[in-house]
Amino acid sequence: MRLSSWSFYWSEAGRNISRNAVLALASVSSTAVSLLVFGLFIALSMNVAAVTSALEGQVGIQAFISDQVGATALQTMEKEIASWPNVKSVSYIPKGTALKNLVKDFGSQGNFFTPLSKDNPLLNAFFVKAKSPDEVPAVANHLKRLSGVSNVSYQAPVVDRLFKLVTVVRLVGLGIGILLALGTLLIIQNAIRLGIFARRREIQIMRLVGATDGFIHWPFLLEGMIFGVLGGAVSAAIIAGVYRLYTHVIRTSLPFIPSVAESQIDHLVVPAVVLFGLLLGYLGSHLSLRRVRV
Amino acid sequence: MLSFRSVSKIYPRSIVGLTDIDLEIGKGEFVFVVGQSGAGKSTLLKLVYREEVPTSGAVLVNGWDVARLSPGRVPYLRRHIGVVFQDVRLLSQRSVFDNVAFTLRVTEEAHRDLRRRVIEALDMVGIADLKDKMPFQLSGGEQQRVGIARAMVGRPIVLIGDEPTGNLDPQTSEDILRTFIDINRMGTTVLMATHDSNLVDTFRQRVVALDSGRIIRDELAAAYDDSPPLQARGHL
Repeated sequence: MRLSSWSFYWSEAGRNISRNAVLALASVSSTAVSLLVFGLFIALSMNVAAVTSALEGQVGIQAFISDQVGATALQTMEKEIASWPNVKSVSYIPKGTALKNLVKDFGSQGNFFTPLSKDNPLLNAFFVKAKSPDEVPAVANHLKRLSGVSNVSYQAPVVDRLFKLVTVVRLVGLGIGILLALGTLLIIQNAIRLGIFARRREIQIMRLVGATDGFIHWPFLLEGMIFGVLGGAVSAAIIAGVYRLYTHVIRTSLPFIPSVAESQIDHLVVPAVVLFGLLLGYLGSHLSLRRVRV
Repeated sequence: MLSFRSVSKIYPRSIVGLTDIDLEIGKGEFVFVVGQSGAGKSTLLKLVYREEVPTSGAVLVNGWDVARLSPGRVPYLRRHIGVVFQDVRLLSQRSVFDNVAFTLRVTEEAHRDLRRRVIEALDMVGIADLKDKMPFQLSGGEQQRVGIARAMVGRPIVLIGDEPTGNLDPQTSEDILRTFIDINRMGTTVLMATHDSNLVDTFRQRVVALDSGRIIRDELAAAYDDSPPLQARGHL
Protein backbone atom coordinates (compact mmCIF):
# COMPACT_ATOMS: atom_id res chain seq x y z
CA MET A 1 0.00 0.00 0.00
CA ARG A 2 1.39 3.37 -1.00
CA LEU A 3 2.04 6.34 1.24
CA SER A 4 -0.11 8.50 -1.03
CA SER A 5 -3.01 6.08 -0.44
CA TRP A 6 -2.73 6.75 3.27
CA SER A 7 -2.88 10.47 2.68
CA PHE A 8 -6.04 9.80 0.62
CA TYR A 9 -7.56 7.72 3.44
CA TRP A 10 -6.80 10.38 6.04
CA SER A 11 -8.18 13.21 3.92
CA GLU A 12 -11.32 11.18 3.14
CA ALA A 13 -11.80 10.29 6.81
CA GLY A 14 -11.32 13.97 7.73
CA ARG A 15 -13.80 14.99 5.05
CA ASN A 16 -16.39 12.53 6.41
CA ILE A 17 -15.94 13.73 9.96
CA SER A 18 -16.26 17.40 9.06
CA ARG A 19 -19.33 16.65 6.91
CA ASN A 20 -21.08 14.92 9.82
CA ALA A 21 -19.59 16.92 12.66
CA VAL A 22 -22.60 16.58 15.00
CA LEU A 23 -22.69 12.83 14.60
CA ALA A 24 -18.94 12.66 15.06
CA LEU A 25 -19.27 14.61 18.30
CA ALA A 26 -22.02 12.25 19.49
CA SER A 27 -19.86 9.24 18.68
CA VAL A 28 -16.82 10.66 20.46
CA SER A 29 -18.82 11.67 23.55
CA SER A 30 -20.61 8.37 23.87
CA THR A 31 -17.32 6.52 23.45
CA ALA A 32 -15.80 8.78 26.09
CA VAL A 33 -18.63 8.11 28.56
CA SER A 34 -18.51 4.34 28.22
CA LEU A 35 -14.72 4.27 28.38
CA LEU A 36 -14.82 6.56 31.40
CA VAL A 37 -17.03 4.10 33.26
CA PHE A 38 -14.84 1.24 32.07
CA GLY A 39 -11.64 2.99 33.22
CA LEU A 40 -13.07 4.11 36.56
CA PHE A 41 -14.19 0.57 37.32
CA ILE A 42 -10.70 -0.71 36.56
CA ALA A 43 -9.20 1.93 38.85
CA LEU A 44 -11.75 1.13 41.56
CA SER A 45 -11.18 -2.60 41.39
CA MET A 46 -7.38 -2.03 41.47
CA ASN A 47 -7.81 0.00 44.64
CA VAL A 48 -10.11 -2.47 46.34
CA ALA A 49 -7.59 -5.18 45.44
CA ALA A 50 -4.81 -3.07 46.96
CA VAL A 51 -6.78 -2.66 50.22
CA THR A 52 -7.54 -6.38 50.25
CA SER A 53 -3.97 -7.44 49.72
CA ALA A 54 -2.76 -4.98 52.35
CA LEU A 55 -5.27 -6.40 54.82
CA GLU A 56 -4.43 -9.91 53.77
CA GLY A 57 -0.83 -9.29 54.79
CA GLN A 58 -2.10 -8.18 58.13
CA VAL A 59 -4.38 -11.11 58.72
CA GLY A 60 -3.44 -12.18 62.09
CA ILE A 61 -4.89 -12.67 65.50
CA GLN A 62 -4.42 -10.13 68.19
CA ALA A 63 -4.45 -11.58 71.66
CA PHE A 64 -4.72 -8.80 74.22
CA ILE A 65 -3.08 -9.60 77.52
CA SER A 66 -4.27 -8.16 80.80
CA ASP A 67 -1.89 -5.80 82.58
CA GLN A 68 -1.61 -8.23 85.50
CA VAL A 69 0.55 -10.64 83.50
CA GLY A 70 4.21 -10.04 84.27
CA ALA A 71 7.20 -9.99 81.94
CA THR A 72 8.35 -13.56 82.72
CA ALA A 73 4.86 -14.95 82.19
CA LEU A 74 4.67 -13.06 78.91
CA GLN A 75 7.87 -14.71 77.69
CA THR A 76 6.56 -18.16 78.64
CA MET A 77 3.28 -17.46 76.88
CA GLU A 78 5.09 -16.34 73.71
CA LYS A 79 7.19 -19.53 73.66
CA GLU A 80 4.12 -21.70 74.20
CA ILE A 81 2.13 -20.03 71.40
CA ALA A 82 5.07 -20.28 69.00
CA SER A 83 5.25 -24.02 69.66
CA TRP A 84 1.69 -24.67 68.45
CA PRO A 85 1.80 -26.55 65.11
CA ASN A 86 -0.74 -24.25 63.36
CA VAL A 87 1.07 -21.04 64.29
CA LYS A 88 3.43 -19.41 61.81
CA SER A 89 4.75 -16.54 63.92
CA VAL A 90 4.22 -14.68 67.16
CA SER A 91 5.31 -11.18 67.96
CA TYR A 92 4.87 -9.23 71.08
CA ILE A 93 3.49 -5.70 70.79
CA PRO A 94 3.86 -3.68 73.98
CA LYS A 95 1.04 -1.21 74.54
CA GLY A 96 3.46 1.72 74.06
CA THR A 97 4.28 0.54 70.52
CA ALA A 98 0.57 -0.02 69.82
CA LEU A 99 -0.17 3.63 70.71
CA LYS A 100 2.67 4.87 68.50
CA ASN A 101 1.33 2.82 65.58
CA LEU A 102 -2.13 4.28 66.13
CA VAL A 103 -0.77 7.84 66.08
CA LYS A 104 1.18 7.02 62.89
CA ASP A 105 -1.85 5.48 61.15
CA PHE A 106 -3.92 8.60 61.68
CA GLY A 107 -1.27 10.88 60.17
CA SER A 108 -1.90 14.56 60.79
CA GLN A 109 -4.91 13.73 62.95
CA GLY A 110 -2.81 11.36 65.08
CA ASN A 111 -2.08 14.19 67.56
CA PHE A 112 -5.58 13.57 68.83
CA PHE A 113 -4.18 10.54 70.69
CA THR A 114 -1.16 12.33 72.25
CA PRO A 115 -2.86 12.98 75.63
CA LEU A 116 -3.27 9.20 76.02
CA SER A 117 0.50 8.63 76.22
CA LYS A 118 0.44 9.58 79.93
CA ASP A 119 -2.14 6.96 80.78
CA ASN A 120 -2.11 4.47 77.90
CA PRO A 121 -5.47 2.62 77.91
CA LEU A 122 -4.30 0.06 75.34
CA LEU A 123 -3.25 -3.46 76.30
CA ASN A 124 -0.08 -5.41 75.60
CA ALA A 125 -0.75 -7.90 72.85
CA PHE A 126 0.58 -10.85 70.92
CA PHE A 127 0.24 -10.66 67.18
CA VAL A 128 -0.15 -14.25 66.03
CA LYS A 129 -0.18 -15.43 62.42
CA ALA A 130 -1.67 -18.78 61.59
CA LYS A 131 -0.04 -21.03 58.99
CA SER A 132 -3.13 -20.73 56.77
CA PRO A 133 -6.24 -18.51 56.85
CA ASP A 134 -8.41 -21.62 57.53
CA GLU A 135 -6.67 -22.19 60.84
CA VAL A 136 -7.24 -18.67 62.11
CA PRO A 137 -10.47 -19.54 64.05
CA ALA A 138 -8.83 -22.59 65.74
CA VAL A 139 -5.77 -20.60 66.81
CA ALA A 140 -8.03 -17.82 68.08
CA ASN A 141 -10.05 -20.29 70.20
CA HIS A 142 -6.87 -21.78 71.56
CA LEU A 143 -5.61 -18.32 72.52
CA LYS A 144 -8.89 -17.48 74.27
CA ARG A 145 -8.37 -20.44 76.62
CA LEU A 146 -4.94 -19.20 77.80
CA SER A 147 -4.96 -17.57 81.18
CA GLY A 148 -4.10 -13.90 81.14
CA VAL A 149 -5.64 -13.37 77.69
CA SER A 150 -8.39 -10.79 78.07
CA ASN A 151 -9.60 -10.61 74.50
CA VAL A 152 -8.87 -12.07 71.05
CA SER A 153 -9.67 -10.46 67.73
CA TYR A 154 -8.99 -11.30 64.13
CA GLN A 155 -9.94 -9.74 60.73
CA ALA A 156 -10.51 -12.81 58.60
CA PRO A 157 -14.19 -12.11 57.96
CA VAL A 158 -13.33 -8.55 56.83
CA VAL A 159 -10.81 -9.84 54.33
CA ASP A 160 -13.24 -12.42 53.14
CA ARG A 161 -15.86 -9.75 52.57
CA LEU A 162 -13.32 -7.56 50.76
CA PHE A 163 -12.44 -10.40 48.42
CA LYS A 164 -16.12 -10.76 47.64
CA LEU A 165 -16.34 -6.99 47.11
CA VAL A 166 -13.48 -7.10 44.57
CA THR A 167 -15.32 -9.80 42.65
CA VAL A 168 -18.59 -7.85 42.77
CA VAL A 169 -16.89 -4.61 41.67
CA ARG A 170 -15.21 -6.42 38.78
CA LEU A 171 -18.42 -8.15 37.69
CA VAL A 172 -20.54 -5.00 37.95
CA GLY A 173 -17.82 -3.05 36.10
CA LEU A 174 -17.62 -5.70 33.42
CA GLY A 175 -21.42 -5.82 33.04
CA ILE A 176 -21.83 -2.05 32.82
CA GLY A 177 -18.75 -1.86 30.59
CA ILE A 178 -20.15 -4.44 28.18
CA LEU A 179 -23.53 -2.70 28.02
CA LEU A 180 -21.96 0.70 27.42
CA ALA A 181 -19.53 -0.75 24.89
CA LEU A 182 -22.47 -2.26 22.98
CA GLY A 183 -24.25 1.09 23.02
CA THR A 184 -21.11 2.82 21.79
CA LEU A 185 -20.69 0.23 19.05
CA LEU A 186 -24.21 0.95 17.85
CA ILE A 187 -23.63 4.70 17.81
CA ILE A 188 -20.32 4.42 15.95
CA GLN A 189 -21.89 1.93 13.56
CA ASN A 190 -24.72 4.35 12.77
CA ALA A 191 -22.37 7.29 12.35
CA ILE A 192 -20.28 5.31 9.87
CA ARG A 193 -23.38 4.06 8.08
CA LEU A 194 -24.58 7.62 7.59
CA GLY A 195 -21.12 8.47 6.26
CA ILE A 196 -21.38 5.59 3.82
CA PHE A 197 -24.83 6.78 2.76
CA ALA A 198 -23.57 10.33 2.25
CA ARG A 199 -20.72 9.02 0.10
CA ARG A 200 -22.65 6.33 -1.78
CA ARG A 201 -22.08 8.08 -5.10
CA GLU A 202 -18.34 8.26 -4.58
CA ILE A 203 -18.27 4.64 -3.49
CA GLN A 204 -20.21 3.66 -6.60
CA ILE A 205 -17.69 5.48 -8.79
CA MET A 206 -14.75 4.04 -6.84
CA ARG A 207 -16.13 0.55 -7.46
CA LEU A 208 -16.69 1.31 -11.10
CA VAL A 209 -13.18 2.56 -11.81
CA GLY A 210 -11.59 -0.38 -10.01
CA ALA A 211 -10.88 0.63 -6.42
CA THR A 212 -10.31 -2.39 -4.21
CA ASP A 213 -12.49 -3.16 -1.18
CA GLY A 214 -9.60 -2.31 1.11
CA PHE A 215 -9.20 1.07 -0.52
CA ILE A 216 -12.91 1.84 -0.16
CA HIS A 217 -13.07 0.58 3.43
CA TRP A 218 -9.99 2.21 4.94
CA PRO A 219 -11.32 5.79 5.23
CA PHE A 220 -14.37 4.48 7.15
CA LEU A 221 -12.24 2.25 9.38
CA LEU A 222 -9.97 5.21 10.09
CA GLU A 223 -12.98 7.37 10.88
CA GLY A 224 -14.25 4.85 13.43
CA MET A 225 -10.80 4.51 14.96
CA ILE A 226 -10.48 8.29 15.22
CA PHE A 227 -13.82 8.39 17.12
CA GLY A 228 -12.58 5.62 19.41
CA VAL A 229 -9.18 7.15 20.11
CA LEU A 230 -10.60 10.62 20.69
CA GLY A 231 -13.26 9.21 23.03
CA GLY A 232 -10.55 7.17 24.75
CA ALA A 233 -8.26 10.20 25.11
CA VAL A 234 -11.04 12.32 26.63
CA SER A 235 -11.97 9.61 29.11
CA ALA A 236 -8.30 8.89 29.90
CA ALA A 237 -7.73 12.57 30.71
CA ILE A 238 -10.80 12.60 32.99
CA ILE A 239 -9.77 9.33 34.67
CA ALA A 240 -6.23 10.64 35.31
CA GLY A 241 -7.62 13.90 36.74
CA VAL A 242 -10.32 12.29 38.87
CA TYR A 243 -7.86 9.72 40.20
CA ARG A 244 -5.43 12.42 41.30
CA LEU A 245 -8.26 14.12 43.15
CA TYR A 246 -9.23 10.82 44.78
CA THR A 247 -5.68 10.01 45.94
CA HIS A 248 -5.26 13.55 47.27
CA VAL A 249 -8.45 13.22 49.34
CA ILE A 250 -7.58 9.70 50.53
CA ARG A 251 -4.01 10.58 51.51
CA THR A 252 -5.00 13.62 53.51
CA SER A 253 -8.21 12.35 55.13
CA LEU A 254 -7.84 8.55 55.31
CA PRO A 255 -4.10 7.89 55.11
CA PHE A 256 -4.39 4.36 56.53
CA ILE A 257 -6.30 3.21 53.41
CA PRO A 258 -3.79 2.08 50.80
CA SER A 259 -4.27 3.41 47.25
CA VAL A 260 -2.72 2.53 43.91
CA ALA A 261 -0.11 5.04 42.73
CA GLU A 262 -1.12 7.56 40.05
CA SER A 263 1.73 6.36 37.85
CA GLN A 264 0.23 2.89 37.84
CA ILE A 265 -3.10 4.30 36.63
CA ASP A 266 -1.27 6.42 34.03
CA HIS A 267 0.71 3.46 32.74
CA LEU A 268 -2.03 0.86 32.83
CA VAL A 269 -5.57 2.26 32.81
CA VAL A 270 -4.94 5.24 30.48
CA PRO A 271 -3.41 3.19 27.61
CA ALA A 272 -5.99 0.43 28.16
CA VAL A 273 -8.83 2.92 27.79
CA VAL A 274 -7.37 4.47 24.60
CA LEU A 275 -6.65 1.05 23.12
CA PHE A 276 -10.15 -0.16 23.96
CA GLY A 277 -11.53 2.97 22.27
CA LEU A 278 -9.50 2.22 19.16
CA LEU A 279 -10.82 -1.32 19.13
CA LEU A 280 -14.43 -0.21 19.61
CA GLY A 281 -14.08 2.30 16.76
CA TYR A 282 -12.56 -0.25 14.41
CA LEU A 283 -15.18 -2.85 15.27
CA GLY A 284 -18.06 -0.35 14.86
CA SER A 285 -16.84 0.63 11.38
CA HIS A 286 -16.12 -2.94 10.41
CA LEU A 287 -19.61 -4.10 11.38
CA SER A 288 -21.15 -1.17 9.58
CA LEU A 289 -19.21 -1.90 6.37
CA ARG A 290 -20.20 -5.55 6.54
CA ARG A 291 -23.81 -4.70 7.18
CA VAL A 292 -24.17 -2.33 4.23
CA ARG A 293 -21.88 -4.53 2.13
CA VAL A 294 -19.88 -1.65 0.77
CA MET B 1 -11.52 -8.65 -27.14
CA LEU B 2 -15.12 -9.20 -25.98
CA SER B 3 -16.83 -12.51 -26.31
CA PHE B 4 -20.33 -13.57 -25.28
CA ARG B 5 -20.85 -17.33 -25.46
CA SER B 6 -24.45 -18.58 -25.13
CA VAL B 7 -25.05 -15.94 -22.49
CA SER B 8 -28.41 -15.74 -20.73
CA LYS B 9 -29.33 -13.52 -17.86
CA ILE B 10 -32.49 -14.09 -15.85
CA TYR B 11 -33.23 -11.62 -13.06
CA PRO B 12 -35.19 -12.55 -9.94
CA ARG B 13 -38.90 -13.21 -10.47
CA SER B 14 -38.00 -14.75 -13.86
CA ILE B 15 -37.49 -11.40 -15.56
CA VAL B 16 -35.53 -12.09 -18.73
CA GLY B 17 -32.51 -9.83 -19.28
CA LEU B 18 -30.77 -11.67 -22.12
CA THR B 19 -31.35 -14.97 -23.87
CA ASP B 20 -28.70 -17.06 -25.57
CA ILE B 21 -26.40 -14.27 -26.71
CA ASP B 22 -23.44 -15.14 -28.91
CA LEU B 23 -21.34 -12.13 -29.82
CA GLU B 24 -17.72 -11.49 -30.73
CA ILE B 25 -16.25 -7.99 -30.69
CA GLY B 26 -12.69 -7.59 -31.95
CA LYS B 27 -9.94 -5.33 -30.65
CA GLY B 28 -10.39 -1.77 -31.82
CA GLU B 29 -14.01 -2.23 -32.99
CA PHE B 30 -16.77 0.32 -32.49
CA VAL B 31 -20.15 -1.26 -31.82
CA PHE B 32 -23.51 0.40 -31.29
CA VAL B 33 -25.92 -1.65 -29.18
CA VAL B 34 -29.44 -0.57 -30.06
CA GLY B 35 -32.93 -1.51 -29.04
CA GLN B 36 -35.89 -0.21 -27.13
CA SER B 37 -35.95 0.33 -23.39
CA GLY B 38 -35.92 -3.06 -21.70
CA ALA B 39 -34.39 -4.80 -24.71
CA GLY B 40 -31.34 -5.80 -22.68
CA LYS B 41 -28.76 -3.16 -23.77
CA SER B 42 -27.70 -2.17 -20.26
CA THR B 43 -27.63 -5.80 -19.11
CA LEU B 44 -25.27 -6.63 -21.98
CA LEU B 45 -22.94 -3.79 -20.97
CA LYS B 46 -23.14 -4.60 -17.24
CA LEU B 47 -22.00 -8.14 -17.94
CA VAL B 48 -18.80 -6.73 -19.45
CA TYR B 49 -17.78 -4.73 -16.37
CA ARG B 50 -19.25 -7.39 -14.09
CA GLU B 51 -21.94 -5.32 -12.54
CA GLU B 52 -24.00 -8.41 -13.36
CA VAL B 53 -23.01 -12.01 -13.85
CA PRO B 54 -24.63 -14.27 -16.47
CA THR B 55 -27.12 -16.91 -15.35
CA SER B 56 -25.56 -19.21 -17.94
CA GLY B 57 -22.88 -18.97 -20.57
CA ALA B 58 -19.59 -17.09 -20.43
CA VAL B 59 -18.49 -13.51 -20.97
CA LEU B 60 -14.82 -13.10 -21.85
CA VAL B 61 -13.04 -9.75 -21.69
CA ASN B 62 -9.53 -9.84 -23.11
CA GLY B 63 -9.54 -13.57 -22.37
CA TRP B 64 -10.76 -13.32 -18.76
CA ASP B 65 -13.95 -15.16 -17.91
CA VAL B 66 -15.55 -12.35 -15.93
CA ALA B 67 -18.17 -14.48 -14.16
CA ARG B 68 -15.46 -16.71 -12.75
CA LEU B 69 -13.33 -13.88 -11.42
CA SER B 70 -13.04 -13.90 -7.64
CA PRO B 71 -14.53 -10.77 -6.04
CA GLY B 72 -11.02 -9.63 -5.18
CA ARG B 73 -10.02 -9.61 -8.85
CA VAL B 74 -13.04 -7.64 -10.10
CA PRO B 75 -11.43 -4.22 -9.40
CA TYR B 76 -8.47 -5.21 -11.56
CA LEU B 77 -10.82 -6.14 -14.43
CA ARG B 78 -12.56 -2.79 -14.10
CA ARG B 79 -9.27 -0.91 -14.39
CA HIS B 80 -9.20 -2.09 -18.00
CA ILE B 81 -12.74 -0.90 -18.74
CA GLY B 82 -13.94 2.69 -18.87
CA VAL B 83 -17.65 3.32 -18.36
CA VAL B 84 -19.63 6.45 -19.25
CA PHE B 85 -23.26 6.85 -18.16
CA GLN B 86 -26.19 8.92 -19.32
CA ASP B 87 -26.34 10.65 -15.92
CA VAL B 88 -22.53 11.20 -15.91
CA ARG B 89 -22.24 10.66 -12.09
CA LEU B 90 -19.68 13.35 -11.38
CA LEU B 91 -18.74 14.19 -7.80
CA SER B 92 -20.36 17.56 -7.28
CA GLN B 93 -17.97 18.76 -4.57
CA ARG B 94 -14.82 18.11 -6.57
CA SER B 95 -13.38 20.11 -9.44
CA VAL B 96 -13.15 18.78 -12.99
CA PHE B 97 -9.49 17.96 -12.41
CA ASP B 98 -10.23 16.10 -9.17
CA ASN B 99 -13.11 14.18 -10.73
CA VAL B 100 -10.77 12.85 -13.39
CA ALA B 101 -7.85 12.38 -10.99
CA PHE B 102 -10.18 10.40 -8.71
CA THR B 103 -9.83 7.35 -10.98
CA LEU B 104 -6.04 7.37 -10.68
CA ARG B 105 -6.10 8.11 -6.96
CA VAL B 106 -8.48 5.32 -6.00
CA THR B 107 -6.70 2.77 -8.15
CA GLU B 108 -3.35 3.83 -6.64
CA GLU B 109 -1.96 4.36 -10.11
CA ALA B 110 0.38 6.88 -11.65
CA HIS B 111 0.86 9.12 -8.66
CA ARG B 112 4.07 10.51 -10.01
CA ASP B 113 2.61 11.64 -13.32
CA LEU B 114 -0.99 12.04 -12.13
CA ARG B 115 -1.20 15.67 -13.19
CA ARG B 116 0.16 14.98 -16.65
CA ARG B 117 -2.19 12.03 -17.15
CA VAL B 118 -5.25 14.04 -16.05
CA ILE B 119 -4.42 16.98 -18.30
CA GLU B 120 -3.82 14.56 -21.16
CA ALA B 121 -7.25 12.96 -20.65
CA LEU B 122 -8.95 16.37 -20.41
CA ASP B 123 -7.10 17.47 -23.52
CA MET B 124 -8.27 14.35 -25.38
CA VAL B 125 -11.89 15.39 -24.81
CA GLY B 126 -11.14 19.07 -25.44
CA ILE B 127 -11.81 20.57 -22.02
CA ALA B 128 -8.34 21.04 -20.49
CA ASP B 129 -9.17 24.71 -19.96
CA LEU B 130 -12.10 23.77 -17.69
CA LYS B 131 -9.98 21.78 -15.23
CA ASP B 132 -10.57 24.13 -12.28
CA LYS B 133 -14.33 24.47 -12.76
CA MET B 134 -16.86 22.72 -10.57
CA PRO B 135 -19.37 20.37 -12.23
CA PHE B 136 -22.32 22.73 -11.65
CA GLN B 137 -20.50 25.39 -13.71
CA LEU B 138 -20.49 23.13 -16.78
CA SER B 139 -23.02 22.46 -19.54
CA GLY B 140 -24.44 18.95 -20.03
CA GLY B 141 -22.05 18.27 -22.91
CA GLU B 142 -19.04 19.50 -20.93
CA GLN B 143 -20.05 17.32 -17.99
CA GLN B 144 -20.25 14.31 -20.24
CA ARG B 145 -16.77 15.09 -21.56
CA VAL B 146 -15.51 15.06 -17.97
CA GLY B 147 -17.19 11.66 -17.63
CA ILE B 148 -15.35 10.42 -20.72
CA ALA B 149 -12.03 11.84 -19.48
CA ARG B 150 -12.60 10.07 -16.14
CA ALA B 151 -13.26 6.80 -17.95
CA MET B 152 -10.21 7.22 -20.22
CA VAL B 153 -7.59 8.49 -17.78
CA GLY B 154 -6.86 4.93 -16.64
CA ARG B 155 -6.10 4.01 -20.29
CA PRO B 156 -8.72 1.25 -20.55
CA ILE B 157 -8.77 -1.27 -23.39
CA VAL B 158 -12.58 -1.06 -23.65
CA LEU B 159 -14.76 2.03 -23.38
CA ILE B 160 -18.42 1.44 -22.59
CA GLY B 161 -21.07 4.10 -23.08
CA ASP B 162 -24.48 3.42 -21.55
CA GLU B 163 -26.60 5.92 -23.48
CA PRO B 164 -24.07 8.72 -22.93
CA THR B 165 -25.97 11.11 -25.19
CA GLY B 166 -29.41 10.36 -23.73
CA ASN B 167 -29.69 13.72 -21.98
CA LEU B 168 -28.06 15.88 -24.63
CA ASP B 169 -29.33 17.93 -27.56
CA PRO B 170 -28.66 16.56 -31.08
CA GLN B 171 -25.68 18.81 -31.83
CA THR B 172 -23.97 18.08 -28.50
CA SER B 173 -24.74 14.38 -28.94
CA GLU B 174 -22.91 14.41 -32.27
CA ASP B 175 -19.94 16.19 -30.72
CA ILE B 176 -19.79 13.63 -27.91
CA LEU B 177 -20.02 10.77 -30.36
CA ARG B 178 -17.18 12.26 -32.40
CA THR B 179 -15.11 12.11 -29.23
CA PHE B 180 -15.95 8.42 -28.87
CA ILE B 181 -14.98 7.85 -32.50
CA ASP B 182 -11.67 9.67 -31.97
CA ILE B 183 -10.96 7.51 -28.93
CA ASN B 184 -11.81 4.40 -30.96
CA ARG B 185 -9.40 5.49 -33.71
CA MET B 186 -6.63 5.54 -31.11
CA GLY B 187 -7.20 1.81 -30.64
CA THR B 188 -9.71 1.54 -27.79
CA THR B 189 -12.61 -0.86 -28.34
CA VAL B 190 -15.91 1.01 -27.91
CA LEU B 191 -19.26 -0.50 -27.02
CA MET B 192 -22.07 2.02 -26.89
CA ALA B 193 -25.73 1.55 -26.09
CA THR B 194 -28.07 4.08 -27.63
CA HIS B 195 -31.56 4.48 -28.98
CA ASP B 196 -30.71 7.58 -30.94
CA SER B 197 -31.23 6.44 -34.54
CA ASN B 198 -29.76 9.67 -35.94
CA LEU B 199 -26.42 8.98 -34.36
CA VAL B 200 -26.36 5.42 -35.63
CA ASP B 201 -27.24 6.66 -39.09
CA THR B 202 -24.67 9.47 -39.03
CA PHE B 203 -21.74 7.49 -37.64
CA ARG B 204 -21.98 4.31 -39.60
CA GLN B 205 -20.48 1.58 -37.48
CA ARG B 206 -21.28 -2.02 -36.55
CA VAL B 207 -24.76 -2.25 -35.01
CA VAL B 208 -26.03 -4.98 -32.70
CA ALA B 209 -29.79 -4.74 -32.25
CA LEU B 210 -31.52 -6.33 -29.28
CA ASP B 211 -35.17 -7.10 -28.73
CA SER B 212 -36.54 -8.77 -25.60
CA GLY B 213 -33.08 -9.94 -24.64
CA ARG B 214 -32.17 -11.51 -27.99
CA ILE B 215 -29.90 -10.30 -30.78
CA ILE B 216 -32.12 -9.66 -33.75
CA ARG B 217 -29.56 -8.04 -35.99
CA ASP B 218 -25.81 -7.65 -36.13
CA GLU B 219 -24.37 -5.87 -39.13
CA LEU B 220 -21.85 -3.34 -40.22
CA ALA B 221 -22.83 0.21 -41.07
CA ALA B 222 -26.53 -0.51 -41.10
CA ALA B 223 -29.06 2.22 -40.97
CA TYR B 224 -30.82 1.91 -37.65
CA ASP B 225 -34.54 1.42 -37.70
CA ASP B 226 -36.09 1.86 -34.30
CA SER B 227 -39.49 0.52 -35.27
CA PRO B 228 -40.02 -2.93 -33.76
CA PRO B 229 -40.23 -5.71 -34.38
CA LEU B 230 -37.17 -6.10 -36.49
CA GLN B 231 -36.93 -9.22 -38.50
CA ALA B 232 -34.39 -11.52 -36.99
CA ARG B 233 -31.61 -12.49 -39.37
CA GLY B 234 -29.72 -14.68 -37.02
CA HIS B 235 -27.17 -13.22 -34.72
CA LEU B 236 -24.41 -12.89 -37.32
